[in-house]
Order: sequence, then structure tokens, then C-alpha cells
Amino acid sequence: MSIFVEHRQLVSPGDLLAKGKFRAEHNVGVYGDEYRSLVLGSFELREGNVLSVKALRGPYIPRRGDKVIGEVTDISMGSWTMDIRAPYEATLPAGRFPARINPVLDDIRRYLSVGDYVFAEVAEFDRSRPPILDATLSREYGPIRDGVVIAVEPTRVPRIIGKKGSMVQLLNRELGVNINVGQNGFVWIRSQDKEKRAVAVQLIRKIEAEAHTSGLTSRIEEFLRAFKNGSQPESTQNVQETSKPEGEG
Amino acid sequence: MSSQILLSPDGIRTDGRRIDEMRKVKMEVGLLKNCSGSAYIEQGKTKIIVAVHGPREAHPKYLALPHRAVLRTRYHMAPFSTSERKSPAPSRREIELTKVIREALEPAVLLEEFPKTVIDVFIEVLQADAGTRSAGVTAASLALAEAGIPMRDLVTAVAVGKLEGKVVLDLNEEEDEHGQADMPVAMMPNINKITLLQLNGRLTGEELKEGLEVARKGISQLYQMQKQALTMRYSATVQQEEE
Repeated sequence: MSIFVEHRQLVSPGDLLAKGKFRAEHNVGVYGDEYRSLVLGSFELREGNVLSVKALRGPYIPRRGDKVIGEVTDISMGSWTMDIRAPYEATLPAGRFPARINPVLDDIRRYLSVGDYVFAEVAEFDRSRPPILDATLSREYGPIRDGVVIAVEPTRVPRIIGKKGSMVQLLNRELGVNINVGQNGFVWIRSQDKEKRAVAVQLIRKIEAEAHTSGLTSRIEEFLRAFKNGSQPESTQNVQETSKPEGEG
Repeated sequence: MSSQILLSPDGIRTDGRRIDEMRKVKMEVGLLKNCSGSAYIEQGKTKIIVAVHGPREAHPKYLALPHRAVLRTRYHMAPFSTSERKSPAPSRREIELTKVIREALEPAVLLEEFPKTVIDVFIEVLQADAGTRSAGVTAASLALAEAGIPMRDLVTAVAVGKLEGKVVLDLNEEEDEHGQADMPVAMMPNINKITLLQLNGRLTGEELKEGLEVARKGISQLYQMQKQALTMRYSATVQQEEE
């Protein structure tokens, strides 16, 4: 039983993490008694024997129950085709949209057209069938009509949310904005105050960039304190109004 | 054939290298924006850029496999990559190298994680000076790693050859053309498995074994550089924002 890398150390595919008997979680391959990293990321050790690697980057893999934000890419008779930045295209059936729609009589285009964003939940997905979204399972779901949607690395989402939502709550409380984070790396920010919204965007970018470092929460708190005291800590200008997420479709 | 002396009696090659010395190598990861992962490699005068897309939905649909992702590679030489213009259409050689490189990478990538999808690997040779397939494999595995696609190991490749009866590491164009043999080798260095082994020319059994040993040494040097390139990419993400 020996571990060859430190907690939070950067590892790349094929790196020997440990030898002996351990529990392998995310991104750890087991070869007999050898445990190797499968991705580029930071090594995480829990309870002395649980190994995992947090990927630096990577695709979003949908899971049932995930809150996601999708973009409409196509419209068919009774459903919308959605891009949720996963390897698989998702479907939002008209019956799972929070409005009474009769797909036979109504033109569903009236509710959502191509390019619109929707906050919804992954209702079904098992890798053999494409994911199906549902926007009726909670009152917070539905079409996105205001605010901005920005794209971040899906692998950094847990850090933006924080432990039990602590990071998002911190931003919401201190800035008076309303942030919803999709597990797929789309972040929806609403605020009456454009300046505050710009600061929120900037902070989310900061969290994304420094997701793998420690002491992040205290740095964010410090930034917020400085902002509240009226001094602009860093420039907040280069935030685009309509931040169409980049990346492939 | 050639009256040229590729290897001097005291073991110095035409470009001044010793027989077990590699050309100067430079690697960079994450230089392109519109893709999932990218890498650039310079090995002597060979220059290659690689972009990875995906995993993404397979188009056309019939390409998709129900139980695993399809790894789709494209090895391509730019028209300006050689001294005489190369037609941009895929040549017989490029089609073959596409297949060979795909098969060198496939054992490393955990394709079964993403059924019904494709992962595209575009290998674009900007300047060719021998060893493009091996440099292409080395850079492609970096780009795949940067894209966050799960892999058993990185894949690292180098060519060995034979000049004046001596086994040498990492041939350049001149040595490749006039030498006695050229043997590209790709390996997964950590799990110690060979994923590509080709031989053009003749080697004795002994020379083959020696060649593999020499290749292994070259690969372990290249592997260290691969890891360094990945680490650079990682620390760069932090600094960017702190400036």
C-alpha cells in the first residue's frame, strides 16, 4: 500500500497514482494492484484510500437529475432539439415545456425558437438513448428571457457552485444578483444592475480559471469586500453584453 | 546509390548529432481555440499542429458505433510542407498514415466511454523533415489529453534508423532518404506497450532489438517533454487571470 503522488498534485494520463488496495473513483484506471490516472487533472485523496482525479477539462456527460441550460438548435413537430454541450444532442418535448401546448394545433415556434436558451433538467439519459429534458419539474425551470448566459468549462462547475451551493449563494447575497448554474457549464446571470452583473461575470471567470487552487473562497470574499467599499479592484469593462457561448455546436 | 557519408567514423551525423541524440524538440499544448484540445510539436525541422474535436455526435449517422466512440484521424500535409508543392488532396501515403496513426492512438483512448460519438483528430503537417508520423502521434496524444478525453496513457513515438551499419535515433530527411533503414516506434511509456512498429529497410534481429532499446530511450525523453508541456498548459490557466 503506497501512494506516489500528493493530494492536489497535477497528474497526466498513465501516471502511477498508487499501488495496493484502494478504492478508485473518477478518472482512475485499475490494472491489477496498480492505480493510474486516466486524464489530465489534479489528484484527490479522500479518507486515506479513495483515489480520484479531477479533470482539468473535458466533455459534459449528462446525468439524470442534472440542472442544465440548453440552446435550441432545431425545431420539429412536437419537440425542440437542444445543444447541451454534451456529446449527445438533447430533446425537449413540447409536453415537457411549462406551458399548455397542443403540438398538433399550436406552432411550438411561438414558445421557443432557434437560439433561445432554456433552463431545464435532464429527465432521461442512459447513453444508449439521447438525453430528454424536462422544464416542468421545478418552478425555476423555463425559457431564459433576460440576463446573460456565459459558457464555462463543465469541469469547473462544482467549484462555481461550491459546497452545497455556498459559492453561488455568496455571489447572489453579496452582489444582489441571481445566478443559476447549469451542470453543463452554462451560467445564467440576472440583475437589474448592469455593473453588478458585469462583476458577477468577472468573478465567475475568476473562479473558473482558479478552480483547482485552494483558498479561492477567501479570495472571492476579499474581492467582494473591495467592490462594496467602492474601489474597483480590477477592470470590469471587457464583458460582452450578449455573450454567445463559444465552442463547437 | 549515394556516395554521401551520413555517419563519420567517429560517430557524428551530417547535422552534427551523435547516434543516440534526438533533434531539438519543442512542444506546446492548448494553442487553438475552436477545438476541444490542441498541440504543436517541432522536432528538428518537422513542424506539426494537431487539433482534437469531440467526443461529438457522429455525422453521417451511419458512422456511429453502438458500443464505443469512433476515432477519426486525418493526417494531412500542407501544400507548402515540402520543397516541391504537395497536392492538397489526400495521397495514398497520407491515407495509409491516417490509418497507422489511428491504430497507434486507439489502444490508449477509452473509446467505450462515449458510445455513438466520434472523436476527430486532425494532424496537419506544416513542414516535413522526416519523422512526421511519430511526431504526429506524440502531438495527437497531447491534444487528446488536453481535451480531457480519458486515456490509459499518453502515446509517444520516435523513429530509429540505420546509417552505415549503425543504429541511430530520430532520422532527419536526408538520413531517411539515403539511410539503410527507418523504423518508427510508438509506445505507451507508463504501461510499457508498443502501439506502432513499422520498418522500412532491413535490420538484423540484433539490430531490431537494439533499435527498440534506442527508441525506448528517445521515447522516455520525449515523454518528459510531453508532461512538461501539459504542466505548462495547466499553470498558464491560473496566471492568465491573475495578471
